[in-house]
Amino acid sequence: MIPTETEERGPIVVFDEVVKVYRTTQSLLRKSTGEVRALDGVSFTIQKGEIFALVGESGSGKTTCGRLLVHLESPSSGRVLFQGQDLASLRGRSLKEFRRKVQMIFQDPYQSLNPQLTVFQTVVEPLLVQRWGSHEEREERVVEALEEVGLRPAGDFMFRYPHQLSGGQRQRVAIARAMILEPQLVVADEPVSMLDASIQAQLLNMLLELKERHSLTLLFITHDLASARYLADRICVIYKGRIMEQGPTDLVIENPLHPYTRALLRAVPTVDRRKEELPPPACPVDLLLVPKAAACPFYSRCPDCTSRCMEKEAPLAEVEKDHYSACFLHYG
Amino acid sequence: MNVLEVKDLTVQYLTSRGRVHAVERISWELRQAEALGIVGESGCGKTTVAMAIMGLLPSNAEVVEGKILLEGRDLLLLDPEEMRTIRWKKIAMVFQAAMNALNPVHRVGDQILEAMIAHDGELSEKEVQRRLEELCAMVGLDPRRMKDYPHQFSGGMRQRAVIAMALACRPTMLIADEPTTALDVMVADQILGQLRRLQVEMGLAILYISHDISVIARSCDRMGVMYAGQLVELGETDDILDHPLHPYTRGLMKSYPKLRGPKTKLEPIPGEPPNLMDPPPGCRFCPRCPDKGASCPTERPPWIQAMEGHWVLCHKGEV
Repeated sequence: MIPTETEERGPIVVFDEVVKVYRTTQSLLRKSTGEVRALDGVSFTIQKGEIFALVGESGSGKTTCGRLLVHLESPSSGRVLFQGQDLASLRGRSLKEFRRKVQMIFQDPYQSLNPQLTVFQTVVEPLLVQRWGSHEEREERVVEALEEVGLRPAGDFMFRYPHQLSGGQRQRVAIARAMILEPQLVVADEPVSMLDASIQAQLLNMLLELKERHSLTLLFITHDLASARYLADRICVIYKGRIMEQGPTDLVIENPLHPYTRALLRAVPTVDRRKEELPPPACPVDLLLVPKAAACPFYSRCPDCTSRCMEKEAPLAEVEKDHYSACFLHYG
Repeated sequence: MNVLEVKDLTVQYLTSRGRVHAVERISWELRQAEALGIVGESGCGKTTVAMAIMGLLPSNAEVVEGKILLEGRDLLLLDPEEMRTIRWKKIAMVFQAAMNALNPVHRVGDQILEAMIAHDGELSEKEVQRRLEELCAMVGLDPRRMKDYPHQFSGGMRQRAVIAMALACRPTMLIADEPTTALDVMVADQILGQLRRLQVEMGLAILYISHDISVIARSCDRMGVMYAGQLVELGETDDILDHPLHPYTRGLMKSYPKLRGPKTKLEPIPGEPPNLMDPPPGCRFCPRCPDKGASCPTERPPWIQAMEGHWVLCHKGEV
């Protein structure tokens, strides 16, 4: 985790009060019928060379964060900075340069690879787009990238099509494609959740190795706290578009502060905990009262909920060193 | 007492490219009011076993050998009409991602009733209402929501509705194939808790099928581990998790990152499962096994009871 040169430390990514609103429309008249606040004022930074895990359930906004960071989408308000530059300001050459430095690995290797392209064509494509090297140099580079992700010997795989590969092999191809331009930041959105456990473990270890060897920075997006614990230096827990808790991995896992994180940790089935029954969380608040939009998103399921939580969500507070939680519990 | 017994079940699929040896000589029994879990990775044959029990194997499947005994009757010998009376009334099933299987244009309550009427014949209005309320209580749904349509339900509620449908005819056993795979952790936890309650309080025997060993660990009294079409280990859940005997089970357990205790390096099983069109002649796990011996590549391993009630399919199974 420690960079070779100390001056390389510092945030590589900054999310500054990012809001992303999706409008829902009725298709016939294009009439706006409502809006979904996928991200509601999200701020965090990712340090160079770390693995930062964004953990959340479906609909939490974790994937939206990833899509904003690779500039597939733009925030409704707020800023996303990469190496100090606002992504919204990137044009022309600087945008192309950004696309080289930041890559993404998607969840489903059955959908993210073009079925009509061979492994070689898939992996070489970014080099062609970036007009990198001669044909021989590119071929050499592809072989190197494939062998690095464990597709050895590369010659056995280069001319196969995705349907001739297993799920694990496909995801390795997707990773090789993401790594071929020597990116500085990789966004991995649930990169192993479609795969079987033994293959998941292979790929998690490989991501760790790649990160070490290439001093990568990794945004790891997952719903699985156990794999976040395994990979990440820091964990950020997100729920309904807001950050609930954030801190160094060991602190978040061993001393969770926010009631949401605690509930999440309790709910995860693990091999080491068996069959203990837990009472469903009580909700002391009258559900018929309409909460304010700024209410804590977890209040209706929270065992520690008070009337204050329905008015406004607590701002993130640093409860112990580097460990933040957005809950009034910590305000006394 | 056993609710269901599977004996030497062998199923193969005939495809245009050849014969797939999907399930080979599997034997286990499901006891009364017990939760038995079958864990295995994709393609290991666990769903094929469930489909064989339900009599729902696709037409290209061939049961080469074996018996499936329910109350002494071999389900594999029943004609389709007899099987229909057993399905749902004796054995019900909650399928993978079943919550997407609800009909979007019918009210949830009507769909549950339909299951009841289709298998139990006409019932009086009063009886129907009483049983619907009873089912709602069993699975934790608000009976007032029975007039809603599926899209008004959350994923967890839809899964509860599907479980209510499965229980509509008071079956003696339930097959739950990946019952929580598509759900968020907290909802999944509630559903598993609900199923556990049904099993313990109502004496329902449940066969869980999952790729996730931790789901099985949470819910099951006994568990079996499948690999490449074979049952490689069977026993009490605690025994298997504390003393896994088969190298595959050990490898699988080392593949899961842990949430508690010291952080240890994952030790994945190298390689990938074999092609079941042409499985290894001896032990099917042999090509990936760290402890293989001389006879492993060529001879089928014996099914040994290594400890009381703890079976393993391994040449080195003796403790």
